[in-house]
Amino acid sequence: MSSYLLKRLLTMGVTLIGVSLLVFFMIHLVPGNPVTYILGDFATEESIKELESRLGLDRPIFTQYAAYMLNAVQGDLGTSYITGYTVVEEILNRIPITAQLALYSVAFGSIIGIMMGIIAAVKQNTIFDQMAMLVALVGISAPGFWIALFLILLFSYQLGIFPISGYSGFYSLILPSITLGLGTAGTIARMTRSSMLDVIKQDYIRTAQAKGASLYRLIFHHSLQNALIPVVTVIGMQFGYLMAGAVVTETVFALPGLGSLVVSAISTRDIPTVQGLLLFMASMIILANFVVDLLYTKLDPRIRFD
Amino acid sequence: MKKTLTLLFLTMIVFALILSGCGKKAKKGDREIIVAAISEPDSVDVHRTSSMGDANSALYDALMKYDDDGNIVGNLVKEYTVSPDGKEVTFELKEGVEFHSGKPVNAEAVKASFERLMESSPFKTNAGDISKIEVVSEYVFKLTWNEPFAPFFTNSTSNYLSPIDVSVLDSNGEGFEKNPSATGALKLVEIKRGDSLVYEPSDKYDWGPDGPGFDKVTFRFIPDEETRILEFKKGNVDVLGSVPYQYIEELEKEEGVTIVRVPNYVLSYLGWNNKKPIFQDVRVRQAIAMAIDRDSIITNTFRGEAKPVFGPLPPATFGYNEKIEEMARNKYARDLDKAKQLLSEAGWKDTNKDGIVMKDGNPFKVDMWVDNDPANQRAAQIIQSQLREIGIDLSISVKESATIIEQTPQGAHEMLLWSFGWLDADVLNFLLFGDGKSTRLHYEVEEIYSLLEKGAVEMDQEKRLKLYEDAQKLLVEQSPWVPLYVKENITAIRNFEEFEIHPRRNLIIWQNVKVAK
Amino acid sequence: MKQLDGVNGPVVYVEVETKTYSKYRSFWKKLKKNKGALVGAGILLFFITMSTLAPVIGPYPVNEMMFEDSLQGPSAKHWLGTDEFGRDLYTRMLYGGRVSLLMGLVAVSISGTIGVILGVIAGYYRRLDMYIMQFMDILMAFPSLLMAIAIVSILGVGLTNAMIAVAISVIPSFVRVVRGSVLSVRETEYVEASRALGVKDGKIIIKHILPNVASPIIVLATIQFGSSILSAAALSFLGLGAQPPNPEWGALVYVGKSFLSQAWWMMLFPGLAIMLVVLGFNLLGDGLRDALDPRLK
Repeated sequence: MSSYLLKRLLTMGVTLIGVSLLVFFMIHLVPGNPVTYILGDFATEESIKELESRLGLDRPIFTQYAAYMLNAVQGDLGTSYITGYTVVEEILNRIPITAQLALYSVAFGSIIGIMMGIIAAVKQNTIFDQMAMLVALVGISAPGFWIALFLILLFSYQLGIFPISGYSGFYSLILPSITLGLGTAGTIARMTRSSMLDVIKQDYIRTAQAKGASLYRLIFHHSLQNALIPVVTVIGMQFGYLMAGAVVTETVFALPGLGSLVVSAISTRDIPTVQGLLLFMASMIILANFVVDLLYTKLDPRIRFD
Repeated sequence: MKKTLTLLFLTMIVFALILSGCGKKAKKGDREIIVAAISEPDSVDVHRTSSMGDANSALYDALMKYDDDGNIVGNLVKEYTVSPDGKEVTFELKEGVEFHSGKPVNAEAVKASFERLMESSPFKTNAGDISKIEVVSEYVFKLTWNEPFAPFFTNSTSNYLSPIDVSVLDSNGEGFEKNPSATGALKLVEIKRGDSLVYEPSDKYDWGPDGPGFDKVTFRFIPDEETRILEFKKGNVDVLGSVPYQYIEELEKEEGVTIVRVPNYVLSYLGWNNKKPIFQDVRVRQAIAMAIDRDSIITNTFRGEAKPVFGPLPPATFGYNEKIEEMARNKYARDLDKAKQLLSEAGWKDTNKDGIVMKDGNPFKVDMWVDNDPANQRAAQIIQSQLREIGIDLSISVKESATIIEQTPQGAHEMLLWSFGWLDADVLNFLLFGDGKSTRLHYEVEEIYSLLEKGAVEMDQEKRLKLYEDAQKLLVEQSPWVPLYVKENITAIRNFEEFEIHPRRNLIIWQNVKVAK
Repeated sequence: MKQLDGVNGPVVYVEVETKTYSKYRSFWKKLKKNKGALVGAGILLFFITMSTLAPVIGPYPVNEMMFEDSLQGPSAKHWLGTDEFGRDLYTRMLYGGRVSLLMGLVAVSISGTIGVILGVIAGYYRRLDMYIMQFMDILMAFPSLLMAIAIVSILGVGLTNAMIAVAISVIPSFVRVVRGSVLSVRETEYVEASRALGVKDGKIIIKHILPNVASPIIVLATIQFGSSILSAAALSFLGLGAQPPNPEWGALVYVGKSFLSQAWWMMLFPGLAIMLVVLGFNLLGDGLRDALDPRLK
């Protein structure tokens, strides 16, 4: 286990360095640099040169990268050229929103998904099963941006139940969480169903059934616990999906989270912000996958890594 | 295993509760105004930001202003005198004006502000090539330029040259955006990054006998167009700027809603890279201008909420000339037959009858860049179908504005649908047709740019206007672009007794805003 | 050696052949019994036929503007209503379907080809495995849509670039699946036997490995086809994909969004079409998986 852990940590480190390199060079390939963006119509050759040297953009790219990484390791992701805020400040400002959004949508997705999965598995091959699975697939197939606007139109505008946009506490995150959680719910429902079915087929459940154990006991005591193991993995895997989904959802609902920040930073060519955010998000995803792996071994004693 | 799961869920719940504790929104007060804006200004620091709009410019008050007749008169400045050679201007400030911080606005403070502008602002070109800033007495300061700089007075009606209170800066000359202090009508109270900016009327500002007509202004940033409109319709927002044209009619029907229209000072134009061989022939350029039907674009994309412009400058800009406009309108009113004839004289003929004109076996195909504004994209499609009528095959490429700004100076584009907004005719020189400065159009002709250069240093207004008139005549004749229209700036408001938007600068005039009881 | 080869070769061949044949029959039987798969295939067949026939059955020219008919609701004249220029939405959706389906096809073909090549290399040549998978880990650390946005920012806005961006963001999932399957096939007796007999790697890969990893690739490609259409639509929705006046479905939703409260049809129908097509691919993909390889989940 410990040697596995070590190996895993090592590859994680390599991945992180790779990610930073990719982010850094990818961003420097983007046409339209912050200098010309800031200067806009007032750009002259002279003013471009001057601003470039002030922002350190005239140094060789490897020097820039080295300087950046040196600071990044010490927890300094740079300062936005334009807004004057440090990137760490910006991330800390906005992370509560995105974290809540992710949390609620996972909660929503898991509760709905697991429930649908159980119903489908217990009533396998009935109309309930088929309907639940169809709904799950629709959840996966529907474009989030499209659903979001109709949800706003119906629940916020027509019925006035929820705020239309902006962040004002838990209430304002319900619709965005549902939008984002639909896909998760679908995925989890499918996963729960299939792993429940696998477990139900196993001998000890059949024995329990033969001994006359009640259906409720069977589902919640025997099957579900074991069936949830792969579901936990799926929840962990959803992390990346949620980060991406947050980009569109936060834009539509005007939520000041990381996703909307990344979109606006890309359009203003705010290099330090885009760089810092992508690096941060990628690190979170790598970390999430790592935690999922660890949880997996913890949850299922049968699984061991060598 | 059960324990682990329970623990996991418990942590999640606790985490959620902690998180949802932060950021409760306060109830809206009676005299509070909520303005919905598209995007958050990148900074409230005028020496840093790339965009000045309502959400950050009310912090500032300009040195000069326009009076009701469109003349430039003093604002923070009481009087000024220009030296005979035009290189020195002495300004006398009004006495008793204070920054938000309570510090006096005197010659020293203005000097310090200009020094910061010259030292670190990317927009210092707006102040011209200043060689010396001197304090003459407590309220008098003198600026000296290496060359006379005529656009200074127009430019100083904008906030780019407004004095800021440098005493709030840290030792690195930064930190203004977190604790700004200037002389404007509004004082910054709170910044919620990505969400809102909260202001209150400044107690240092001259509000007249009745005092300010409101207690608080909140700018909320809602990037999505539909969400913004729904918030307004629901009554959660009092002022909705840049209303999409297709919604005007609908909003007008809402109870208590007033639509405020102000002509925008930004001129949209159809431009092209004049260095490309295809645009070398003046007949081709004129034919394109004659193929455009501005009225159709205006009716079908802006619901009639724009005014056609044929000449090089829009009415709000200093240097606009009705004679020129008239001349351009007569010359370039839509005339498909004449346009086709000009094309065929230039050698472009539809030889294979596919509807596209050809020359030397090559079809007339061009690509046009447009930014991602939905209304501009609609206009682009109409231009596409109009040019198709004279046999030009136009394709549309959507580019981010940042890309357009960076790549047009290198001449990577063929055509583009773009715009400029500047209140002084010097824009023709520093951005559009100046020597080595024609970054969007690449049209640099000596007989035109020499006139423009003279205009930049001519301190006599009459002579200056004449120079720009001559230059514009040549531009109309040469047709290196097609000026299109000035859009109407549409704002929807509710619950106001008084509300006014500056006709030239397109900004809310906060002295003239009063909420209804 | 040569003799051995001659004796053993055909035997293996025949074995594989019969196996494949019986596999096909049970595959069809299973697929036909799967209602979901049939519905999915039906949906796809419908949309593919309609978009292929667009020039024949489209009642109006796709880009001709009829300003006097603008923003008309669904009626007998315009089945799905008209847009802001009076263009017939039904016609535009027929043509848009071509673009959307083509985008999915191109994205899956590119990512599938690259993914299979890399996956086979990683799975077969273990020396390269670490490097390839390390690179895939790096790519997978980025949320796919963000990755696509970043790539589009580099390459520039547009249909082709959006396809490339989507394709790149899908590659890692192909590599992972293919590599996993190759690893399991690689250890089988006939592959080891062929290797022992000195059969060239290329031949082993083409003859033995690829046919045996085909099932998971087909399943994954089907499902990715749908999600690529979804990603491409999301890019268009953010204004980074198809350019006007291209009627790609995501772009139609993007334009329709501007007219949501006056012309709901402009946003509803294209969104519905995206959802149905993606649903079709998912249903078919599920069915294919059950029929081809029930162990895959």
